Amino acid sequence: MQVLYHISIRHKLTMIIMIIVTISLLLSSVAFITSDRLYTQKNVGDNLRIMADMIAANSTAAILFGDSTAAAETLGFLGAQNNIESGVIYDVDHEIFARYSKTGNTELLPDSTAHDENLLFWDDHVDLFTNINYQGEVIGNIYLRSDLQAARDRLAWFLGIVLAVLAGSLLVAYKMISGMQHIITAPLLRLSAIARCISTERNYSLRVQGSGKDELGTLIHDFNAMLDEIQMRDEQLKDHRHELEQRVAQRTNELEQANRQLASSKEQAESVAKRMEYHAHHDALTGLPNRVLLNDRLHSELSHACRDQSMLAVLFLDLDRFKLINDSLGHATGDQLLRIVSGRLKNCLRDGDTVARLGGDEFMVLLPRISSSSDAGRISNKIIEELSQSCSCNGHDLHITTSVGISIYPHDGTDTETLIKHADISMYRAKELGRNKVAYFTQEMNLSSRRRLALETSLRKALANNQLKLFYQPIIDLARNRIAGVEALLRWELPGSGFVSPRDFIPIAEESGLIAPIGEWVLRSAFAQLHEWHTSGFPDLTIAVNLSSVQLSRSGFANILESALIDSGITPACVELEVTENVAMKNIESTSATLHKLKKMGVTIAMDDFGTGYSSLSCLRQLPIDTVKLDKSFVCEIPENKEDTLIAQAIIAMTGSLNMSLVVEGIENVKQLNFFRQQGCTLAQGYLFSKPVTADAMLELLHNQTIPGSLNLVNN
Amino acid sequence: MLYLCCTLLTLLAPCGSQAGDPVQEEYRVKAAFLYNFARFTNWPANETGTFHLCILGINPFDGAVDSLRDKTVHDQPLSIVHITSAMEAAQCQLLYISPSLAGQLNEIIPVLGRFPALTVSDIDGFIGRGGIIGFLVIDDRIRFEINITAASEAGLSISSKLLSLATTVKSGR
Repeated sequence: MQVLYHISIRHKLTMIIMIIVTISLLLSSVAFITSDRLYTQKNVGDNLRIMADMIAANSTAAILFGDSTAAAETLGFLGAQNNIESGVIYDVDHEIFARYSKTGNTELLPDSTAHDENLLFWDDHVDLFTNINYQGEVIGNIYLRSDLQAARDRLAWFLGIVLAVLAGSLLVAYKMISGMQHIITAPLLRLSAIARCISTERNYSLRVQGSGKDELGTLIHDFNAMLDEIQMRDEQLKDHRHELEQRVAQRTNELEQANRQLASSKEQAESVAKRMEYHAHHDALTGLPNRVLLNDRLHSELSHACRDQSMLAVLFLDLDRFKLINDSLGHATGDQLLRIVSGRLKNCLRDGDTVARLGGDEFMVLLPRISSSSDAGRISNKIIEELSQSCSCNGHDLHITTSVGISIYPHDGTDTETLIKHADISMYRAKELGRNKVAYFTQEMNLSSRRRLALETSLRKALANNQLKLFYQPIIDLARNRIAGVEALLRWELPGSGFVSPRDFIPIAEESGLIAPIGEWVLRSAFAQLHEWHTSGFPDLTIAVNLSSVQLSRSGFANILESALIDSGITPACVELEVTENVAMKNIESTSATLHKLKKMGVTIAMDDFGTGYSSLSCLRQLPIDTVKLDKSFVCEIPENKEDTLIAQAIIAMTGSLNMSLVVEGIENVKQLNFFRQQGCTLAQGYLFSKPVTADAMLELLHNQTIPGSLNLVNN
Repeated sequence: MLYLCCTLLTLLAPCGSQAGDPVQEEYRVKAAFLYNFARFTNWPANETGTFHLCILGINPFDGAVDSLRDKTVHDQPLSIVHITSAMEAAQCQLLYISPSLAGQLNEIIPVLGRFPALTVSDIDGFIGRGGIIGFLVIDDRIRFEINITAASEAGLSISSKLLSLATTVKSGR
């Protein structure tokens, strides 16, 4: 079959037609020969029967009269028939009565002794058995045997003719096909030649000649149409290519330019990357390493120290009262101060030491390879000495001090976190010692720090378990000698350990964020209590609640307050929020904004512990202050201390002129009370009247109005 | 000769214990011949419906003809009749004249006149003396000769097949 793919269509056509001609001729020949053979057989049979009948008719008498000679004479007539090989007449007992044989061969007898009437065709002869009847009686049989030579000759003759006709037909067919196949192949060859020409010359304007409505005509037409299309595309392609080349040239040009630019920008990028890396590891303000770089260095120095079995110190520094400078003299001054401090710190250090700014006014110094812990102390003292020298910033002559905490590897810790944490803790201890001090880390510090942690945990529990309580201290209206309001004070009662001071746990609450839930709880409890008192017959009673700086700086505080007010059902005017002076001054702009917002809700604002901070009067003016609470530190030595007396008088005058009300705190004796009453003060609170008491005790006070101090006063 | 005899006898009667006597054998064959002669001969119309085989004179067949009794000839039952006088032959279709009457043959033939009877006899020169079929024995085989003129005078036609077997076919007186 594979061969068929390699021969031309011309030969395929020829082959197919020749095969068809051959097959049809062979089929018709076979049919012809078969029918002829059948006819011949019938002929032979018929002839045999006729002969047998003749012999039978002519031999009846001979048989009946037992005259075999006469019967043999009758058979002798068969000699005229070429095809009869032999003939036998049997009598009624199937014994041979007479016989004839063309060749004289008497052995040519029938194979079977079945003497029924039948005609049997064999390969080379035909046997006929037939009865000899006379007057309805079977008197014997005849057997005739005819050869098929004639039939065979006839077959051979026919085969010869068939072959001759076949050969002739094939010859004629071949000639005709050879003559006619070009009708089909010529257009195809033309098509092929043009296609080849196009593919070698790429000349798409060539077309195949030829027309016709048959498949080849359609093919040529379609081929030409395809060439039209290709030619069109080719021209378009040439145009496109031209355009593309132009564009490529343009782009190449642009690319070269871009490359040149890139080469220069790459240098820029490298310097930017260097700068960025520098910024990632250095403090922008001072140029010192930042916390990240410090951590890296500490880490690597720790592994050195571990390997060399040397000591290493971490110093934690915090400038004392830096916030105050920053807030009062402005950030620019603060920043300049920080830069000066950085420079001085660097001067104090050896090569290989690292000083880093952690943020704000916090610095950390890494001292690797120290021979003893006293080295660290020596350097720390040097730092303190260096920094305590006055410096001039933005026209201000500033005196700053610093507190240094030291932790030593390997005594105080073996990993970066522990060493830094311990240095931090010891720095706080240094501050507690009274600033401008150096403190080595001790395990006790760690204990106190753990205590703080324990305190935080129990504070959490306290909030959850309702161990926090509100106490109330009355604020006395001196003119009317009545309780005008109460200040709510938070108390924490630890079961078994008594009360924990707010000074101890409020900073912890602020650091841990617990101040938010605690603050809200205070507001709600205080308001609910006030509402209760209002409904118990004291509708004019006011309440003062202290706010922590953290509470105030939280953005959602106004919402919390509003919700607490609405939930409790009291009027905002009954509520006074107390902010310490230090809190208010910490971030004057945002505090002012927040306080204004609160005031709009209808509450009044009081400044607590007034006089302890450093608020300027201009700042005080910015804040929406209704009330000033004079700090008890000014009150306790009045009237003996002249200076305090003067300050108190000045503050009283100031509040009067600013149209603020004044509450005197910490009145403990009658002398003080009299003094402030003479000064025209109308509101006061203190142990003289009542220490902070529970809500129930407060209610009793309200009912009795038995206030010792005031009664005394009234009596006097 | 023997096997031919036997073949023929099977046509007529079982080939039996009688075989052995040559004379009896001869007449058995001749009895069969008589029957076959009748089958190859055509008679004018026979009104009686019976085929009469008449034996004139002393019966030499000695029972051999008795086996023919239940045969038919031209669809007519065969009846064997013994007659003593030629005058009785008017009803006979086939008349066998015994050799015992050889001396009186010249008287018998004219009596038979124009009776349509096929005359058969063993008598020598029978057909020359006006008989139709005469038996011969040649080389131990039984043959016969036919006087076709006598036959046609009697109004009989004899099949050419029979004629072809005859040793002599005589025509004319």
